[in-house]
Amino acid sequence: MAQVFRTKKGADTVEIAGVGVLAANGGSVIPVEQAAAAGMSELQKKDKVGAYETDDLGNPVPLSDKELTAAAKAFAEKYDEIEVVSLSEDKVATLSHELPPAVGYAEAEYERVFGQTVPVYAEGDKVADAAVPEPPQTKEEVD
Amino acid sequence: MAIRRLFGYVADATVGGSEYDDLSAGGGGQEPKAIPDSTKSWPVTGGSYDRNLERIDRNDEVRGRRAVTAPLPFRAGPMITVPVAAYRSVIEILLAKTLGGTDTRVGTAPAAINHTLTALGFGATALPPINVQLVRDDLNHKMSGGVINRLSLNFPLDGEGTAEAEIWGLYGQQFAGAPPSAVFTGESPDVMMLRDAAAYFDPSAVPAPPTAVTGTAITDLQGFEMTWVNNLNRKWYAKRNVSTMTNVGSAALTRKLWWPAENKLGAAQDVSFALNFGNVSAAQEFALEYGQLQKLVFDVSGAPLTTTPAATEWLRITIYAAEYTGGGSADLAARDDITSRFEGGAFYETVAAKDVQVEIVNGSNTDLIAA
Repeated sequence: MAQVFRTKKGADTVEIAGVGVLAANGGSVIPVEQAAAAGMSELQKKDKVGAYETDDLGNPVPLSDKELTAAAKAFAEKYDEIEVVSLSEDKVATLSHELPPAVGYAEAEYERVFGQTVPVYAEGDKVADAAVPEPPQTKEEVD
Repeated sequence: MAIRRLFGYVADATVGGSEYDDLSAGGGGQEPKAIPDSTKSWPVTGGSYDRNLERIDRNDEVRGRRAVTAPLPFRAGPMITVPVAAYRSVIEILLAKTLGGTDTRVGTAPAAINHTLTALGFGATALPPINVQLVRDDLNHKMSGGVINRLSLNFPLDGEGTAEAEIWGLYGQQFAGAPPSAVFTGESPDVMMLRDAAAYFDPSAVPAPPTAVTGTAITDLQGFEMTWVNNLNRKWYAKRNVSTMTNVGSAALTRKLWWPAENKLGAAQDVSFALNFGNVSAAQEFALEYGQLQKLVFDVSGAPLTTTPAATEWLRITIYAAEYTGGGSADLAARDDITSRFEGGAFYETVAAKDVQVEIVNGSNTDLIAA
């Protein structure tokens, strides 16, 4: 099971800069560990004045284990739109924003937003390519 | 030095805003007070922090020497000014915090929600306050008790709509702690602009948006501006909100700075507007000369909303008694195009008992005043 950020039912889209976008209505998730590794401020180790603790290279150090879970929940509590839930790895894989959506998901989302079905092009349809020159075929043409 | 940039806000729960004396203790030293981090970020296009510092200078003291004694720190009136593109999700909050009255909502999710914003009237002196955060690399400034003194909206011909907010605070401080993540909630995908706007003089009916106004739209509108000024008064009160720093510098001086207790709403607001037309207008010239009162409606639509049924973001500003105070057609020229620009004020109309009404269509039932 993995801890993930997700928008609550009925909540709008939320973007966490540098980390990713949580689709509205719980439509996608961001694993908490992934957010920490991406440098999300609230999930990094801090000293007593709230400044980052850094490694030998001067980079912030992500929290882990119980501290990470507690920090993620504390962050989510500040927002009416966000929650932290535990999901199976399979579910995370299908809902993670970095992976292609499950079959049918993208089409359903397109229809919900734009009120029409996704345009379908027949196999073999191609953009007119008359303006694209043919590549050189012989050494003399290249020279 | 790390690169970190953001502007954000969070509602200040204290009525009138958190004064220095109200705030919880901070980490001590140069951080005597704690101000909460922002939770909502905006894609501002700039941001300036002005302390409005005043010093007591001692330049006129006769001390038997030519060199002058250093001034004393006295008081500050912190202010942050931010310009931002006219995303509906941003300007609806700016308008709500500037007007400060009530947000009357009509509609039920998942359908679109109509918000009608009213201004604070007599009796109330506290605009809805926000704590704001301005992060510029290693500078993490937070300001408590911010209320909007001036909001300027501009929908020009040659670009996107913009807004600029002048936010007056009660206390500001630099924090050494890491800034929060920039979180954008329910952000509009598109900016509102004049391309998608219409304006009407004296329409016969103004239903709730997005239902169309009944009237003839101005056919050559090339710009609309509106500025709302709350005419705030900074109030410092004796023995209140005095921050004291000891051991300042190598001379270990004790220095004090006096912060405001309130930014009190002015007894009268000033609302002005301007219209740019693509051509001359004899009718508007007459209106300027004779102080004609016109009902002016400015409509602008935004991005599609994710509501059911489908709907579009909307902003409608109605000025019930718009009277020109200046402007006119451009000068005669041999070659240049001659356009016109009229500036005026928004005044009280006795039958409607209003001066300005702001209506917004969005997909959320959240009270914009408290958001």
